Amino acid sequence: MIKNLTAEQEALLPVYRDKWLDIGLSTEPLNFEKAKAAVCVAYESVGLPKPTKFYTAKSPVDAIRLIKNLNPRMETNKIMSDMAYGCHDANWLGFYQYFRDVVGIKACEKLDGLIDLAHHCGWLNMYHDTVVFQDRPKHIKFDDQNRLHCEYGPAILYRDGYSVYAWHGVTIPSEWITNKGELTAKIALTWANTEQRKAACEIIGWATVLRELNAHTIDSDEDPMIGTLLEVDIPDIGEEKFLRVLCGTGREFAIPVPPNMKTALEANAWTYGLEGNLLRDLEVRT
Amino acid sequence: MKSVSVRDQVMDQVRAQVRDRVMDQVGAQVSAQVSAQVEAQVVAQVRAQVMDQVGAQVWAQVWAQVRDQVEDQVWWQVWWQVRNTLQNEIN
Repeated sequence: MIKNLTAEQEALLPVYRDKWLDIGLSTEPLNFEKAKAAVCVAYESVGLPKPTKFYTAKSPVDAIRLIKNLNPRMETNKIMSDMAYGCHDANWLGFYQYFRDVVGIKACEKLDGLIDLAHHCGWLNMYHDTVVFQDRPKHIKFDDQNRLHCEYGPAILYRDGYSVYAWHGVTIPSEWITNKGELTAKIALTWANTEQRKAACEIIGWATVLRELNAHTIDSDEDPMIGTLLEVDIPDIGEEKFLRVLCGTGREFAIPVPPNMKTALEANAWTYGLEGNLLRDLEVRT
Repeated sequence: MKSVSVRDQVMDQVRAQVRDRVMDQVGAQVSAQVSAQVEAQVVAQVRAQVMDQVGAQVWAQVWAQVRDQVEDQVWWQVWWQVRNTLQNEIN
């Protein structure tokens, strides 16, 4: 039983993490020949005969379309549930590759085919004698906190145009980016999903949202980090209070606060679960 | 004209039969998925053997410093978002 890693083994932990982050986030095109060879090793490792028919798809939706053409009786949800994830299985494949290569656990060699496969393709469907490989995304974009995000286009784009739009880690309707002018404060503030609602308000800009709704000031603190307490009449919702405040990075936010808030300080303190005067005391100390 | 028409009809029937037969064969091949066998069963075996050979501390250390950190970005930020978007579009 191995109870501790050596210093040399520990030094390789971030190396494997970075290596598998690169594999998982790769936007290289599918390497068809290498993926074929790797998947054959994976089949053989469990005693299955090598597949002989290989197809390629440019994205997950293209793969579903292709498999339905091959077998019209296959249901979409079944095709989805049969998918393996190639490069996106990087988390657990990297974990076991570390044990294989660094700790020397031979049992992990059974994963050689899948580990190799992750280097060369995106998702895939493995059937008896037939494999459908998918291409990897053409681009993947993140914000500075490594959340999926792109302000001017899809955050994930496949080579056939299939795409995912995201705002700081929250998936959003594509038209919020492609046709920003159509996104109004009313749409944003009445959107059912609260994470997407917040994203919509950020896309429009909180200042614009509150201005469009003719927010009126209830209380304004002299400290901009404490902010201004505003009240607005939101269509179909009614009176709501918001705290408009600057964060440490200078960005302006408007945070919904309970209707019983009377001052900006009280509302700001509420966001930390504190009472107003206590927040001011804390600020003085720091 | 009539003989051409009969020939066309026969050819259409033959083509349809061949196509159906090919579709049946291909369909059978792509209905028998082996992902669970190639992936899930192997992983279960490998996991059991690794756990037999390394202590809980080593397992947790590699999990936290390799697996968790890759999972945060690759699995949750990319895989999940694609999968979730696709699932919503299908439903």
